[in-house]
Amino acid sequence: MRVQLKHWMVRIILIAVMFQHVLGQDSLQTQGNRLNQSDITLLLSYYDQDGDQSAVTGGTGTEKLKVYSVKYGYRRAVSPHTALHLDLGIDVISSASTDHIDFNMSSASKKDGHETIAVGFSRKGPRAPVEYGVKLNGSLESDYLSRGIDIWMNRRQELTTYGFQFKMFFADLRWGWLNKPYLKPSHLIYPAELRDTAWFDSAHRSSYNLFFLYQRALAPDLSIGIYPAMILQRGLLSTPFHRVYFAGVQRPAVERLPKRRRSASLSIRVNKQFANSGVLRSLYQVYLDNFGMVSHTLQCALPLRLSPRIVISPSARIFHQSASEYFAPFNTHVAGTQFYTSDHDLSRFWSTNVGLQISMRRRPTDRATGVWSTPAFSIRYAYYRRTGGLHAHVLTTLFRWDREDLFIKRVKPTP
Amino acid sequence: MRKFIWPVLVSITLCAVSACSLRSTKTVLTGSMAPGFTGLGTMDIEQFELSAFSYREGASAPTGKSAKGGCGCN
Repeated sequence: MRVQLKHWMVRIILIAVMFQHVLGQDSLQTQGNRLNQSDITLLLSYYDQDGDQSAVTGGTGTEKLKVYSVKYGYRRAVSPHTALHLDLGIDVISSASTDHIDFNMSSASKKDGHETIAVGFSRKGPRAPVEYGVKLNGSLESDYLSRGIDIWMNRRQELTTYGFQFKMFFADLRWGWLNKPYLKPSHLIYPAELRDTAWFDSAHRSSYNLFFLYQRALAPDLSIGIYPAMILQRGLLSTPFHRVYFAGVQRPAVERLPKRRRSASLSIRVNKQFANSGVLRSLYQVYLDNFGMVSHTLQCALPLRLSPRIVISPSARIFHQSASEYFAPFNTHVAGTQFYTSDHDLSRFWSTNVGLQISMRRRPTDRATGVWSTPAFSIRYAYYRRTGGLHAHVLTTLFRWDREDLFIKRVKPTP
Repeated sequence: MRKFIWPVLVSITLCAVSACSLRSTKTVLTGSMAPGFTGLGTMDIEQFELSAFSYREGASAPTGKSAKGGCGCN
């Protein structure tokens, strides 16, 4: 695992260096004598989860999972109003539950890699306070390839910000993308004992996500935000290697869910600054969908400034969801129903999440134009627990460098 | 699990009430946007962490399971 992670880290750094070299040319020929900011972000994360309700084994069995993640983001200012974006990411995944797709313990299905790439641009209107951007993204794992487009716009006024974001994803869930000798989409992966049947006639899934944003400052130290969202998913929404056991039936079946899912959510945020050194950030979200699920989320963070450069931020989140009408636990489904799943992610549960983040800002003297700053640094730990026993730890560190780029208007010599 | 819910809820409410009762003259910070509305800005450590956890919540839009496609890891 360590060697594999090192291998991927070398690849991601090489690609990043090449991109910086290409874009790192002098771009002072652009119009306007203005500043724009470039930045580099590096995120490293370790996620560790355990539980005993895996959907791979029909709602019972280990959910042990480890994920090592490296993410790299580069925003390069190419004019006073335009920036190019590159995001790269690698996840190295070790999953004990997917090891049970077949009956070979520690087989190829135990370890997997997940690579993401996104390229795009953003632009600020030269006069009107409008920002917009487009990003193309791709995501590759051994059992799926996802491609997408992300369009984003917002408009800032003195006290109000409003905007929208539209994300589309098109996924192919066939296995073989990263596996020799295929290295191309080959077939859906079913549980080993169920591979004598073609359970689905399509391996494609599309997702359309539309988000709206409205934020307003009600007072110098109080702001609110309202964020409606709508999501439509079509295609193969079932996970083809999830088993479902029916009461009184020995042979399991593959999870089956409707081919269309519509969901909507509404989030409300209230931020309040107090005591000159802290901000209370709170969020409430309600969600519902046509699978019969309703959820409520309450989230709260309290960033406190300990010194001009150090901020400590404890946070808490409480979540509750009702069960999908298609869910039943292990061995309790009634044979003959049209749709069925034993994935406890679709069950009724409560979850709590507590975290602590320490952030260190870069030195305020590092403001020289054209020079990368010393890094700003954040480290965050969080613990997640939900009823049913699933629990997880995540440790994340983030480094950020930024640079002010000066774009000088070129003056033509007078004849 | 439920025995933890009420103490946390009460703590959050107390925090909110005490925070709102304090006066300040500084400009308010907008903080992180709503989950899912990422814009095209730089990476956010809280958004990343939220997506890692809410991945296992079938009704945790818009960062919830399968919103991006793919099967995920169980």
